[in-house]
Amino acid sequence: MGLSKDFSLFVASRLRENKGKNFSSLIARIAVGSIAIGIAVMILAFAIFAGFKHNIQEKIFSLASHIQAKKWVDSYSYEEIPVSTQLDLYQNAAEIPGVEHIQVYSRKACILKTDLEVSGAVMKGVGTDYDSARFNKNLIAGSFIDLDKKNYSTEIVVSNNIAKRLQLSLGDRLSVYFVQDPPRVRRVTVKGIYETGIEDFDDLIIIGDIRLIQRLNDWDSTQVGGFEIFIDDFDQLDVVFENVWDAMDPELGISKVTEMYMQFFDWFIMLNRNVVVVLVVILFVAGFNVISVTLIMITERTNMIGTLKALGSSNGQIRKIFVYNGVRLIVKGLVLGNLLALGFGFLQNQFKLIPLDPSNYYMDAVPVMFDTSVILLTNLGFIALILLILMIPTYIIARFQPIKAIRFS
Amino acid sequence: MLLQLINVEKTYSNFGIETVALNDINLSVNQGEFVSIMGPSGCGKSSLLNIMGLLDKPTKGEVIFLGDKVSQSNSSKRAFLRRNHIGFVFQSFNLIEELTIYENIELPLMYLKVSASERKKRVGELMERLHIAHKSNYFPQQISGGQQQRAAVARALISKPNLILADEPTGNLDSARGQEVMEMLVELNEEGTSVVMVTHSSTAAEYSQRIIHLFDGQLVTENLKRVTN
Repeated sequence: MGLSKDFSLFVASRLRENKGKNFSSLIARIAVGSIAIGIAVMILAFAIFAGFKHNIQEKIFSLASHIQAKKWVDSYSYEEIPVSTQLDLYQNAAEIPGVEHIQVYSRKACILKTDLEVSGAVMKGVGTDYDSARFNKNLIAGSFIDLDKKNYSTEIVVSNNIAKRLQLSLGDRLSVYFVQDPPRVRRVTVKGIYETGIEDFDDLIIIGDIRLIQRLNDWDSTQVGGFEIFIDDFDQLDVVFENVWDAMDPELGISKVTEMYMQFFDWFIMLNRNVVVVLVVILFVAGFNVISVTLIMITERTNMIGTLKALGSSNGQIRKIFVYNGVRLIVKGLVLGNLLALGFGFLQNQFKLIPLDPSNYYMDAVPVMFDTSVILLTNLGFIALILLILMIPTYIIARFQPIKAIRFS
Repeated sequence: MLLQLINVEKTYSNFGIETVALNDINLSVNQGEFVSIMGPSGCGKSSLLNIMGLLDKPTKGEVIFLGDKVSQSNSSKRAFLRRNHIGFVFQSFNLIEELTIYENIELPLMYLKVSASERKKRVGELMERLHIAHKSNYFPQQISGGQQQRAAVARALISKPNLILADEPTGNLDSARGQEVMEMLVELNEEGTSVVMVTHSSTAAEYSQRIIHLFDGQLVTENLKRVTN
């Protein structure tokens, strides 16, 4: 017999059990839809932004690390002043809080020459401590160079751009000219082809054995161009940077990836602002819908409100009826919206439903990266804000005069 | 004395034009009285009923309900008095269509925080008495106008009010159903509940003890009709 204890909850539940009869039920469905789309777009906006950011950052880190340490050179030349692997920074990097890995590198400008084409490039020489797992995500053909040979390896990994430019395929041999006095040339073999989508790398960088560069520069095995440092948590970059600064040898200088590739990180900040603008618009639309639906529901039930007031219901009790109904719409919309977002994200990640042009977006499909805490916070924030907005139209109930609502006459 | 109106005036202002709905009304209703208010359309009957039911405030004058001056009480206080002491019966019944007949009648007890078992007992007894127990699970639109008005009367009575205010309770009913409702109101009145009824029907008014005639917002005559028990 419906002997619910809470009067407002009871009436609210009965109002929705008899749905489908009123204009407001159609509007309610539209509101649920708009909330669902709103929350889905919000979750996806965050997830896609996070996906973009993560993918691009990972690509940058795979070739540039988080922190780079080398001797200060007051020029833009690729010629480096060697640093020693005997330095404390390299030897004791594992003891620096926040540092995950350190590896050596050396760079040298070169000219790649095949029978048909010539192209400038920078060889990045890496050693046995190189974390190839990070880089291998970029490989689109072949494999990474073999660094375990006794002598330096003559294998290289070229970018897809360079491979296309020089019409190179896996296993092809070509000459690499190193511009120095006297000029030196080496014959090398293409072992792998990579693609990051980031022109700064793809137009320029080839990967080779650091021992080749050491030989060309007449360095011994302890002399390298610099160190690449990876940290545990990118969000702690500034803190770890300070730790490295404190621990490093005075002859070195260090740079953060966010400074070296400032254009990307500035772009992330700009994207972040765009996401915020989109979210505000979505919230505004969803809030406006909830207000409209609640106002329609209230207007449609003027007579009921008047009757309840005449019978002695308080404004608060009547307001709660509509708040409960609003909450039901919000929860329904949120559940649908979350399912929609998670479902779309899953399908997108599995089947790449929305492809992208890698030359413009650095990746071939829209990336979706969900973060549970972001989803939870988005939902909670949405509920809190919409509930607050929902209170506005219900205050109109207090202004309803029962006599106007029921009209004795 | 249950209800007393002293020099009550009610003026409505619309776009700067003032309309006097009630002018210097002095009226009292005793516990156990059955009073009818009659008069032509626009004479102020509704305004008077609104003020007597604490749904509206007078522009001037005083309303005393159960010994308290309430003309300028706030909405919470007036809602409290309505909830505990006044029952309303409307011409168009005003049952909530999403609730069953049982739930409509039960409603006032829910916000009076009466226990579930007590509610069940009181609603059941009243429905039996008003011969609508068999319509308990029906929705208002599924039963006849007479049965709806009985349900509305039951809803007005369930909280055991001191005063029932009825607005044209037979207005939407045929003569047979109208007679049933009037006999029911008389029966309730004879048990001690005061009834104030606005009506155009002189037949309905015949059931009351006193008839008040209103004209142009003024109380014109009072006739004593039926002898109080």
